[in-house]
Amino acid sequence: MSRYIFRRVLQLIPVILGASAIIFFILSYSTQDPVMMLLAGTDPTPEQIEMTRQQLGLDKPIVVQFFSYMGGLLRGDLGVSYNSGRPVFQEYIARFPATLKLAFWALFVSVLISIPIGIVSAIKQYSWFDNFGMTFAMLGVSTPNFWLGLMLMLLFAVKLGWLPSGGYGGLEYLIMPAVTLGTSQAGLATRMTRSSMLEVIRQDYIRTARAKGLSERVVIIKHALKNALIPIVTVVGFQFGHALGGAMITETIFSWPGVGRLMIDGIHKGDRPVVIGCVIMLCIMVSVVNLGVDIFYAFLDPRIKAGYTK
Amino acid sequence: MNINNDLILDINNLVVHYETMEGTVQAVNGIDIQLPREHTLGIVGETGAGKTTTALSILRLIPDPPGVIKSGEILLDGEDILKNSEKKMRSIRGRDVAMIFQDPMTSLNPVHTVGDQIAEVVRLHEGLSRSDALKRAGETLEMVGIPAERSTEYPHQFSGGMKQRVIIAIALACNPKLLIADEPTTALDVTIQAQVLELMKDLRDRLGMSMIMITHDLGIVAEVCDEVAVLYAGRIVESGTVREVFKSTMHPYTEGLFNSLPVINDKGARIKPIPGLMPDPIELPEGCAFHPRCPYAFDKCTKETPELRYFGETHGVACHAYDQDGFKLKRRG
Amino acid sequence: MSKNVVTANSVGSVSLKRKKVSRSSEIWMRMRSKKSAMIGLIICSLLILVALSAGFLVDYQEDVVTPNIPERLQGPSMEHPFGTDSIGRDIMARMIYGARISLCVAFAAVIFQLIVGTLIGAVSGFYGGKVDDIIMRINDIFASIPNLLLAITIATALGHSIINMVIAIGVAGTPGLARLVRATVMSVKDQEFVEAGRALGGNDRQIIVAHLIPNCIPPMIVEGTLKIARVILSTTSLSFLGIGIKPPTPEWGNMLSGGREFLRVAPHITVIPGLAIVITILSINLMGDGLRDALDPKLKR
Repeated sequence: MSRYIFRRVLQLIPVILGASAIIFFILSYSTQDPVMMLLAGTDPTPEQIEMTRQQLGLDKPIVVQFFSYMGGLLRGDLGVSYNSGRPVFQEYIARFPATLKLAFWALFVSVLISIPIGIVSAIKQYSWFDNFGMTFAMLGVSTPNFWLGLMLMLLFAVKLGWLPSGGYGGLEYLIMPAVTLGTSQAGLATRMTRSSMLEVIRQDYIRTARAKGLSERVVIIKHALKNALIPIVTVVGFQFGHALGGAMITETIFSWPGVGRLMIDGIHKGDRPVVIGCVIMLCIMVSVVNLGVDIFYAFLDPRIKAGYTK
Repeated sequence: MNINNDLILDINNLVVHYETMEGTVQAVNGIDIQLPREHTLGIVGETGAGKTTTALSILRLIPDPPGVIKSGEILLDGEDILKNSEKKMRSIRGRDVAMIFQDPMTSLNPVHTVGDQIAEVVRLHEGLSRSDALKRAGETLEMVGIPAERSTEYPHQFSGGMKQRVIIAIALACNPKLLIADEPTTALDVTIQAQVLELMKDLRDRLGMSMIMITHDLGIVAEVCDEVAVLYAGRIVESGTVREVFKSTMHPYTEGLFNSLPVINDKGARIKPIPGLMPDPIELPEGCAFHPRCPYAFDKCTKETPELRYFGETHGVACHAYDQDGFKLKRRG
Repeated sequence: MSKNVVTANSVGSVSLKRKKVSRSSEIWMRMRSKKSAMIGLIICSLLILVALSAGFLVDYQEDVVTPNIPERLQGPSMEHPFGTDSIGRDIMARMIYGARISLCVAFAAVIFQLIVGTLIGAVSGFYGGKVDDIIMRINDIFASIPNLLLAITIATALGHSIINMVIAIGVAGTPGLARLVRATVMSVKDQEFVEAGRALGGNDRQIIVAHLIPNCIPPMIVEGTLKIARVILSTTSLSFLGIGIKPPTPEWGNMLSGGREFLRVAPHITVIPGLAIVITILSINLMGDGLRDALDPKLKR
């Protein structure tokens, strides 16, 4: 098992390296010249421009820049923000707790909604509850979360005044962002739970379980759900990885000071080190969470575990 | 019909339909089965004849929807289980009546150990503690010829034949009065088939169980069963002791089944398959469902459904041909 | 006996023929029997019609981009059924043009993905071995970057034109599609009719054209339809974040975004384009689900 994990981590390295390279090269060929953005408002002489370029290391060949950047990444050095002058890594770490908090509570909301609705919809296929649940899920996957967030804000902050419209603080600040992100994740997760459960409850071993005289509750929870969980965990894990990397849209709407907003602000300000750093960190987060999900499979399905240890 | 205390199972006029979007599937159309204690009944027929539906009815496990038990009574130990509450039914399943399913590869839950899957049924019905139940699971495994240590293994670590043994262990863990085996050996290799069959016979005799053996293999019937019922399109067309049905076959369909078997000691003989296919259970032909394929069919067969009538104590046959005096199947001549 | 065989055979061939002729109509019948799919289809058709006739319905210069400050922030009225925005432009007129832009971007991006993704996936799946290894390695690296993020990265680098948006979103969605095509090709490749085609002396090109592509088309249609919905979501998300198509070009996402600061005084600027996005995506998804059910005989009950 630990050998498997080790191997998977090793396999992750080229993927992260490759993804970082893609991101780095794409963003380095940006049409926006960071030097000009940095010096905007002043009236720079060509010498000033050249000097800034040298200071930023942008005069070197792109490949050299990339490798020195990757070297920095390994040491936790993602360069310095053009705007604040602070190390990008520090800024990222400073924003990370807010993102973690949002991602966790969104996951909570999503699981709380999707798993029960998905299970009941599958058991009572084609019932009114199923229709209702699937309509909800369909609306969930079809509603852009920026709009959902704004509508919640319109209702609960503007009209009713129950919740603050944005910012960071106690529970009242968390509710709307978590619900916005969680509900939009729940749509897909509900559909996945239902289809996975439908697949499993048709299996012969469910009939065996019923023939033992087990109650329907035990049949569903002990025998069906554990088998149905793998695709569900995949989807939920994927969504959690994304949210952990920064829920750009939700954070933007509610002025939530997470890494997603750090990145979007960076884009608007042409702060290239911040953007590259955030995007690469996000990719790493997603990959690591996916790896975690893969390892978690082993605890769900002994066949997968057997495959790992081989 | 008077209640007979010697019968473990007494099914009267059972009708089961599946109501689907395409139409009503008439799976079982008025079946009577009487099974004396410690006897073994073979139910024979082609795929779709209603064998599995009949078996699942006894456990009341017909998938509903679309399946509906339209009428009839199923007396288990003299008690009509169709009147039972679902809760009462659950206490019968796995304790009084156990079932072995056809495909061992898919009938065990892949994410629980086999020991757990056996212990579960013991804990449920006998209220044993977890550790006692696991010990019992080990003993049951030994009984079916699997070392008790393997109870901590998962189904994927067992071969097909071994899986079927595990399923038998699950079924027998609570000493059921009645065991229903639905084609228990169809999915297995021939050599393994013989072993599993031998095991089942042995355990049945040792535990004094009654058994229903569902199969399409007449050889298995001859080997394991006391009585046999031949099913066609949801009806019993012929029933009796194995000897009666095998030695003095009376129904044209049963005859057709025997003629479909290769004969080893007569190399010149050709297999004579029954022409045509099973009728669509949504649109059963009028009259006797077998008449379109029956070489003896005459007018009446297309109009009236034949009732089972008895020749002697136990030998029943549902065929109009016996209205004609001195009618005999060709096979017997 | 022999007579029986003959009749059985002829019956078989007749029913086979009938099946072939009616396959598409059978799919259509199944589609039609699903109410939600039909509703989706009707709404989609209406949207496309509106998008196509936008030029006849409104004048771009006058109605869509020219500010009209005196009439700013008006709620829905007879004159402006959807009200006006922060600089007095008629929201309905902008929405009609916005439909054209959103749908154009969506179709173009999906076509881009279908062409590039199919090419990559088909080559990879068909040849297998080393070619497959290398292509899929690279594909996986692209796929490891979340969709929206890759789109943001490319859009940031390229700038904000409509064409750049198509490229950004097109590239971002390609790796997933390539994987799907590859899986489909691999599953079809090993089937007997392909081997039969090979045994009959067909070359690679013939087999690809005659067997692989036709078998890949049904999943592609479904995937393509659902992709349009996802692409609209991405496009509007990018515009909302200010990384996509910029005002004054009317795009549903940037219209909605433009209404954010007026949420208190003029919520309709945000509500209406959002509703339009939801309805569009919803109807495409309903249609896609219906198509999938209709095309996949395995799901038929």
